[in-house]
Amino acid sequence: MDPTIAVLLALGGVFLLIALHVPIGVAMALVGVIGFGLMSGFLAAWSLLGTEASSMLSNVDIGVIPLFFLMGSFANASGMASDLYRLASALIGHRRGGLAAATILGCAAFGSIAGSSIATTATFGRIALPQMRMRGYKASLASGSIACGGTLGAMVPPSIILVIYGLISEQFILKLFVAAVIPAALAVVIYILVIALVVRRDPEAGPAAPRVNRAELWQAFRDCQPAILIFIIVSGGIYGGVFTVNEAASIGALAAIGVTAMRKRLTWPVLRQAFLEAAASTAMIYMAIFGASIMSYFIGLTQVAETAAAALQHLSVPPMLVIFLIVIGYLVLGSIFDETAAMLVTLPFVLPVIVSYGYDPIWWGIINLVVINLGMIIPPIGLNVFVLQGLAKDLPLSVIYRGVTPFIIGDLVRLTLLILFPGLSLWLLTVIK
Amino acid sequence: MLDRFQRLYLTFVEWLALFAVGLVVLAAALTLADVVMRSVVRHPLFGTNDIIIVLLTIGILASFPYCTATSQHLRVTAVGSRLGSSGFWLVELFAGIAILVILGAFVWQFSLRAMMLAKTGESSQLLSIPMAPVWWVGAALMTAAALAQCLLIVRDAAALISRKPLPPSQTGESVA
Repeated sequence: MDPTIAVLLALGGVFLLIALHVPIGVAMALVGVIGFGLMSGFLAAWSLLGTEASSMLSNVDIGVIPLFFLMGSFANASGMASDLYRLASALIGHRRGGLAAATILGCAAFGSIAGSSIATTATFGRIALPQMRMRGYKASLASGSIACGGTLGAMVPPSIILVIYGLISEQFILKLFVAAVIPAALAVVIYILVIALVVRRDPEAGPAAPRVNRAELWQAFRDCQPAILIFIIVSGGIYGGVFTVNEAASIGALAAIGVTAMRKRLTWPVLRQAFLEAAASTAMIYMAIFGASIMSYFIGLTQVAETAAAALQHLSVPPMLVIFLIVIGYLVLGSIFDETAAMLVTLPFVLPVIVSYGYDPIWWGIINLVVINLGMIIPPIGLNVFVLQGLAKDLPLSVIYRGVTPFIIGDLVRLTLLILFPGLSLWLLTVIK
Repeated sequence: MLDRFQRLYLTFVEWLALFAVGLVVLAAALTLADVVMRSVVRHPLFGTNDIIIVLLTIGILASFPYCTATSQHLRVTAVGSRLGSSGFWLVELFAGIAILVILGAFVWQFSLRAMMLAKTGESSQLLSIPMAPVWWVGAALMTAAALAQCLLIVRDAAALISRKPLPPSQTGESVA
């Protein structure tokens, strides 16, 4: 069979299996094994399950994913998320739209000690939504800022999505984290600008809260010290070259458990819940990584990605057009499946094309991250929106989607800037080596 | 009877998951000790990486039975709910069998790997920890995951035969 047809059939097969409720990792592993088996024999194909899994598990960085999950769970259980939100509110809550902007800052700060978008949305949905509604914020702005702020959980390093991308594409996780810093900062700036524009158009959307006195501000700062300390240890350690990513994740997780214990919140139910969540998420992600790795092996064998790249270059298609088409493709696929699935399934095929155009795989990791985060808030599968609606059942989905719309426009502007100017992601890598 | 066994098995895989993350935390503590020794005493702990890799390998694989038993895989279930209850359970049954095939293949391949490592006597670089037992444990953990999946398949088959209604998560009653 022609390799191109084989790969197209494989991709179709993966999407069909995913539609039939087969887990993404299992679908990729099955199709990868069948495809490889048809080309090189089934005994060799099945052995990929053992060789790929063992080669993944012999990497010391494999511990990063459960450790970041634990760090996020205990940072939440210890109350650090509410401390960060209180400090941000004390600093800017007295301005119009200030509590929404504080939510963005709080989410970004929490994102620096957690790594998940959904966890950040759920945490701030519980903390910030009641506060904003109590202060008379319109439900659309309040929910929109939380759903979008939640994406900063995955955008601000350490990011679990970037760890997955790094493991599958065999890129340095540290480089991916460094490259995400400016795009994450850009997201914060754009979200706050969006809030400013919304309250400028409609001042009733986000009324100013009373200014807090100096003693309250100082207290809020003191309460935040453990979170700031963990941030300094994890981010300072990673970017300062003191620790490897795995060491920073280990120390961060232990510090978060320590803070929870010191605050006398380390009860058996909290420990059990955090451990079970970490175990489930770890296995879920590793199954997907094993599957993607097997699928990559099969696609690598066909050399279809290289052939496609050569064909595209022969057609003289402008590289930027190819990039935009792929990103649009992800967003369309994301409306049927979700963007993480789209990235996992297509990465083995797409990455060689991107690299053949001379683009940096690190930059493509950041673009993927932004697209996946965008998928967390755009209909029909906006997971953050669903999480928030699950927490506030009186909020109709239509109101939350109305709230996130201006932020989606902001995110599209950011995505365009990051595509047009790869330096926004890659410049910091030339400074921090 | 089956319900009781399923509940007991869930309790077992929950303890296995707690043990799994316990191993990950232990690996983190060892890493911390190594960092402290390296930066304070300038004398890194000998062979830490060897132990950490063993702990993490078993820790990660021990998470699979709980993830499987609680169906927390990364998957999309938007289509099945539109097929009515019979269609939904049929699709679930199909997906369950696909998961079982892969888990079974992992058991098979990890066992082969363990046998091969036992034959060659391969061990870790610094501490010479024999690697064959690690993969035997891996195969046993994947067997536990496969057994959890078998129970889910029986549950889905029973739901399909008895025309059980869609679960609440598929009817829009709970989306978070």
